[in-house]
Amino acid sequence: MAAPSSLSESRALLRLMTWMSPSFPVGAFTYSHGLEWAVEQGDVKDAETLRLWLLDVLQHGSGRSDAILLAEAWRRVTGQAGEIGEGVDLADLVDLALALNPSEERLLESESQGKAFVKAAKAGWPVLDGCGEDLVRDIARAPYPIAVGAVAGLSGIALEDALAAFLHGVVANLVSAGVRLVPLGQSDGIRVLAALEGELLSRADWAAKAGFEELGGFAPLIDIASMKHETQYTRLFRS
Amino acid sequence: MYDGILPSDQVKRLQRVSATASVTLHRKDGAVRLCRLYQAGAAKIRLPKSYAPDRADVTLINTAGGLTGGDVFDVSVTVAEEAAACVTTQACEKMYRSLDGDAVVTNSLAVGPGARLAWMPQETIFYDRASLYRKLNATVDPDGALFAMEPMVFGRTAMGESVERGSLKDAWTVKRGDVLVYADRTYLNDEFASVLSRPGIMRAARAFAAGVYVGPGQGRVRDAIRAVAEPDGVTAGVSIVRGAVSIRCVATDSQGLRRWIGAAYQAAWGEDLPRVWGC
Repeated sequence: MAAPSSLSESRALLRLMTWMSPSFPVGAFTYSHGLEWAVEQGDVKDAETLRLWLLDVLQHGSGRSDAILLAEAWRRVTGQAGEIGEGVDLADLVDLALALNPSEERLLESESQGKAFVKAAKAGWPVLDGCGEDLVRDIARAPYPIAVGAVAGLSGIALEDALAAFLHGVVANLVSAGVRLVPLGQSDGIRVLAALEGELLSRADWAAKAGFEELGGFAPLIDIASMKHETQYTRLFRS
Repeated sequence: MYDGILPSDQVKRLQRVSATASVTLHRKDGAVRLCRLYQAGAAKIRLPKSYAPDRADVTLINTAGGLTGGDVFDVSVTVAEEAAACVTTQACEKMYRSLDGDAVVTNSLAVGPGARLAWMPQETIFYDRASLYRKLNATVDPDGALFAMEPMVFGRTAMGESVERGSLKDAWTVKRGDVLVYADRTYLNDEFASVLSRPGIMRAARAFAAGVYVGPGQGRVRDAIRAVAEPDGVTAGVSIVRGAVSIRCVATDSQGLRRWIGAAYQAAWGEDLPRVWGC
């Protein structure tokens, strides 16, 4: 497969804005990543505790490992993962990324958004044209970070930009969940997002350079929150 | 021939542990019996009398008394068709401060058809500036069952110890037949004290366990673990993911963690922990 030609900067920006917009039909607004339990427990109770919780997601939770998975998928489809000419194979990466989800709802969150993302992207652009049968099949079952990494790579979007947009999308969605759950004023939500802007950029920059052997993280209480959410009495969110 | 070195010799490499232990259990004449045993270096295996019905109790011993950077420790356990075993450690494994590189620990588990394996080591104590790269690779036959839990404590609270820095990589790969059903990649590097205190990580708790169950009746196992009472300072979660039950527990100290693990093991697996846990 020939390396995809890169999009002009402003076109790439528009594309990412569309893909990571709350109106892009991946159903992001239905997932809280366990935040709903953290709010019920009083662990997240205002803008500052929400910011700290999101910092943990980004630096040590799924934000960390998803960024590495996204980057690896991007490198494989753009032929920059070393094995150029060997053909693009995402199967083992998709299997691993699915198996890494620590809970049923986190798996649902990642798997459903991945499938919906690919479906919606295909509806708008010929993103998978020219891909082999196996690659199309693996992208269609890929969890969210791999779906975004693969589709961005195939569309000629730079890795750092895709990472920044993806992490921003994840965090913006959780801020919006926090605004509804805590509840917070809209201005408080925006302040949290603004306060995390630098962190989002540095995480994107770090993940673009990190090696695949650095995959992983450590955020047991975030994992437990999503497990406990399964039996939470009143729930607005699917995760 | 000569182990010693002359004082004038330059010490190129500090003495390090290189240990391998391997054990296979099978069912013969209706009972679970030892089939093969291999041990080299600081790794020893003992099979004390089991007080649980119809299982072998396997006790792993590290005669080096702990591990540090440069040490290599490999254990492999195979439970063949229809056999049953519970593997544990004689004591808490200790991860000491590393001067250079990781202590590399590789645990390989294989569970045959109709076989049951519980991998229930006592907690690993992780000291300040320790560096551990641990792998757990398990293959479970579609008709077998595995319950595995790895507890870890960051410093000994009673001794007032805290872990300021370190490196922890723990990679779990669990297959049912040929299918990857569960993976976990713990990756924590450099800063420990400030990270462990954070709200989404450990909220300043010191003890942690991750576990997995693969086998029949996953809904029942999840519900049984969910129903286990959480003592003060313990919070735990359990969930079903793609053909495995995923388990997490965070506790303020190792005592609470051990109580919860004993109860969860009893609830999910229907057995008591080997007696060495209570020694």
